[in-house]
Amino acid sequence: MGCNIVTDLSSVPRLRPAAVVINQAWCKKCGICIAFCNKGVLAFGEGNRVEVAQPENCVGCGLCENFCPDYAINLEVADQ
Amino acid sequence: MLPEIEQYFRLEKLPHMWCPGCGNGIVLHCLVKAIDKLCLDQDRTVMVSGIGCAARASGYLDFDTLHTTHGRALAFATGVKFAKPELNVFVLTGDGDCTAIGGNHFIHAARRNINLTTIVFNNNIYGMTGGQYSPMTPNACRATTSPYGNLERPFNLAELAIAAGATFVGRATTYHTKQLTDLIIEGYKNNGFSLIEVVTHCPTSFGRHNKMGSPADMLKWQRDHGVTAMRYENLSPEERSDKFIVGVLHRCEAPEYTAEYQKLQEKFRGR
Ligand SMILES: Cc1ncc(C[n+]2csc(CCOP(=O)(O)OP(=O)(O)O)c2C)c(N)n1
Ligand code: SF4
Ligand code: SF4
Ligand code: SF4
Ligand SMILES: [Mg+2]
Repeated sequence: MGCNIVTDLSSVPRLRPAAVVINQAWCKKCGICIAFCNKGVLAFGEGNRVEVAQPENCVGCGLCENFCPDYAINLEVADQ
Repeated sequence: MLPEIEQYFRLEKLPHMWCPGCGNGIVLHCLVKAIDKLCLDQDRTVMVSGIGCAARASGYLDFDTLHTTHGRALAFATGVKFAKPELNVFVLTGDGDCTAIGGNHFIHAARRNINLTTIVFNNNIYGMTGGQYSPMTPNACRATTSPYGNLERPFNLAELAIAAGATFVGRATTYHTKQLTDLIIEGYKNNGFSLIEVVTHCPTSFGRHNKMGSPADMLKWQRDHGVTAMRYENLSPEERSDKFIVGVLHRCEAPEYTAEYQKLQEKFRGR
């Protein structure tokens, strides 16, 4: 039984550094994550595949994960 | 998906059947976040839905779920709650499901003030059947059945619910995800009939006919048109014309139906 503490905007813990991971099997290439990432981290690649083009710019804000209608984004906290 | 919310989904059913960019997935995400915050027992929580794209939501959730007939989600949910008042009952319904064929169930569930948390996925259209206008389609908007613009006026669902007797009414959008999660939490906590209207986007059947752009553009439209009550107060009548209020719209106290019934039972048992 979970009783997890989730953050307000996103269910992602507000921790850095984060690695953005796209689950390509679930992604429908709708473009919402790309449009809402203020840091230009995500971009359409070949065949409109969503690529983590600028991982170093990610601030771990969780907006992409928050708005992805297909739960295809996970933000992983890198091992320290 | 984040590991902490996986437990609420039937993962083998994903990816869901909704179109690319459809707002329904965001509504469902907010619902599970609210349930996680509330620490509800999955085995004592029931999701009841009708028919439509929105109503498919129950099939993706790992609770006791009931996918019913068109318009009747509230009728089935009333039965569940009446038989087992200790269960947490959520109703997931589309604007057509809830306000057209199910409109009568809606006003009477509100009038009885039965303790159900009803989430209306308002995409202003019959999405599943290809884009016919619904009682929530704004005047002049295009649908397959109103190619020259809708002649009818839409319901103000929140006002309808308040007039019918609902004790908690709120509205959010798929852009306002934090507000939506909070409203679901507040709606659940209300001991009575709670309506949470979610303005969501249907890029395929509504957006396309009304030239609303990409799914991201539709989310931005919600950001720009859904305003808090405080901001709304300070807008001119012209500025208000295309805006709507997000947040808690109504809250009041009234006897809850199943509690009243229990009192009646106790009265006669006690004799
Ligand atoms: C008795 C009955 N009448 C009509 C239909 C056809 N039908 C299926 S879904 C639907 C409308 C759904 O609209 P809405 O509730 O807004 O859901 P959405 O698909 O937009 O999420 C209709 C008319 C049906 N399934 N059953
Ligand atoms: S928002 Fe989700 S489904 Fe849409 S393109 Fe991004 S990862 Fe893919
Ligand atoms: S977490 Fe924020 S900065 Fe990082 S990719 Fe997502 S939206 Fe962009
Ligand atoms: S038709 Fe509309 S509501 Fe139905 S899945 Fe597609 S975008 Fe979503
Ligand atoms: Mg609809």
